[in-house]
Amino acid sequence: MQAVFDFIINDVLKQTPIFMGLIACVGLLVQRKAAKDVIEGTLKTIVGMAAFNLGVNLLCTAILAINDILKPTLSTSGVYPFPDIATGVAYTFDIVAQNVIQIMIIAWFIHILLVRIFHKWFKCVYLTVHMMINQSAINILFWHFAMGLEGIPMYVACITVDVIYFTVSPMLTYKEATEMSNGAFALGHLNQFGAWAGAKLGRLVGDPVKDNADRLKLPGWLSMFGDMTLNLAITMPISFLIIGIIAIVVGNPEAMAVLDTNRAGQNAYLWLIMQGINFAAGVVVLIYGLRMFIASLIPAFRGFTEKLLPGCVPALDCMVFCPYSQMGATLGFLGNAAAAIICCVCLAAFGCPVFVYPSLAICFFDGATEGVFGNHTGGWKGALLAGFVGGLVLHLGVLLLNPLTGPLAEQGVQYGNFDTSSFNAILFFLIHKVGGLFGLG
Amino acid sequence: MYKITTVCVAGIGTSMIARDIVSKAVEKLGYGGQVSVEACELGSAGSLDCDLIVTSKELGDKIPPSFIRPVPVITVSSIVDEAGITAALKPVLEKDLG
Repeated sequence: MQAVFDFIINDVLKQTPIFMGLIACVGLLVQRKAAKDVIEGTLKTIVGMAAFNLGVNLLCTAILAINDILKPTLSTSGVYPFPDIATGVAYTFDIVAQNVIQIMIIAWFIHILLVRIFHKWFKCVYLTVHMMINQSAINILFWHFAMGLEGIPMYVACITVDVIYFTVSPMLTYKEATEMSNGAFALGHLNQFGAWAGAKLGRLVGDPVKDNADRLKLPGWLSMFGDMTLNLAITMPISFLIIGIIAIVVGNPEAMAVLDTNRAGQNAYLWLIMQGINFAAGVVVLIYGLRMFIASLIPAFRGFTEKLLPGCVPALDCMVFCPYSQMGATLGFLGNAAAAIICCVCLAAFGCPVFVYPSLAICFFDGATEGVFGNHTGGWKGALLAGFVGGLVLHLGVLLLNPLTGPLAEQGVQYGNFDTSSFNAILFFLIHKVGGLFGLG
Repeated sequence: MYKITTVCVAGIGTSMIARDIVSKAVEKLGYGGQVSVEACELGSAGSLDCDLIVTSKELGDKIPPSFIRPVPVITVSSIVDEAGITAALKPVLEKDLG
């Protein structure tokens, strides 16, 4: 009997897909779904989680192979900022895999309780499930690995930050967001601080009517960057190729030995391009898996909200704001991407020990949001500036965050959205410093 | 089973919320048992095997024709607007499902 019990605890439940499937199964049973829906939701969650893990393996293999060349060449180690990928890698650590969903769900219920009690101040219900998972995972990484907490203290710390973030951050842009959406929804992603800064900067530099971005015309090919797969398929092979060419020009013997072993007789440049393509493919598989396993969560979250909090404003994924200014979104992306490339060239030129890849996929999501809010208050000037400042904060904040996320830093990926690079990075940095004075961490 | 797909950029945020809203709208219109709704990202929209695509205005003209079969696309000004989605779905479902 004990052996069976041990087998379940130590082996079965450590298989993340099965563990997540069980949680989905319990959730569906609580909602009193029909047997067919419970079986379907559970199996899709299990397969989705397994696909999610496979995507992580694929993209990590690619970026770590490139990092092995980058390290000896420029004595720097690269990280690619992208929150869902970072969570994917974080899931390979038992402490995250076994606690993240519980922390997210408890935090969300406390959050809706606060919104119900203090409705006068907090009017938004955070509903972007994948970002709630990301925010919870980054908290576990910090509180467990950097601060040494586990068990109940870790839960309390993670849940506190989660609840504050879910409850307060959508209120930062509440005014502008509800002006645009006619009171239908607010912003709940991982860039509310970015949109808030964008709106503030917009007011400083431009006029929303006179400088309205949507009166401008931009070349059509820019819209390619609005398709995530295409965006990665263009930017990743180019980034890896540039790194490869620099490595070949520098000609460090250790880097060349790694390159020769990995390419195994293939043409070096083709091998570099294929690593970029594999990275993009890894992200596609990861997102596909993520979609399968959050599909069973979203209806439950929306159902609870409608029952418990009628009349509240849902805080939604940033992409719902794109229709309000397509040109603002494009300019925001361009500003953000320019800042990303400037940051990455400067980091390499000044020999920074951590190299941050220009995360042009996130530049699209973050930059577009900041651009829409910047345009709302300051026209095209506001959109461009909001995106540019957003890109600087996003990429430089990664440097501050990187040493605070434990073993994630060695896997070549990192969290990267405006808020993880500002709110989380600064908060964690200060807590870590103050904690250090009291002998914690 | 009549299949509807909601499409957004990454297929995990907006289209997931839209999937839930479309499901609710379908139930309200009385087609609950006959329709299934899935979400997907722009990059996979060219290989969809479904009866109807629902997306937002700015993505409408970016959806490539599916190589499996032609799929009609309906666009709404906001992909999370329940009333707008219900109004846009009503004539299409009445025509296709009776």
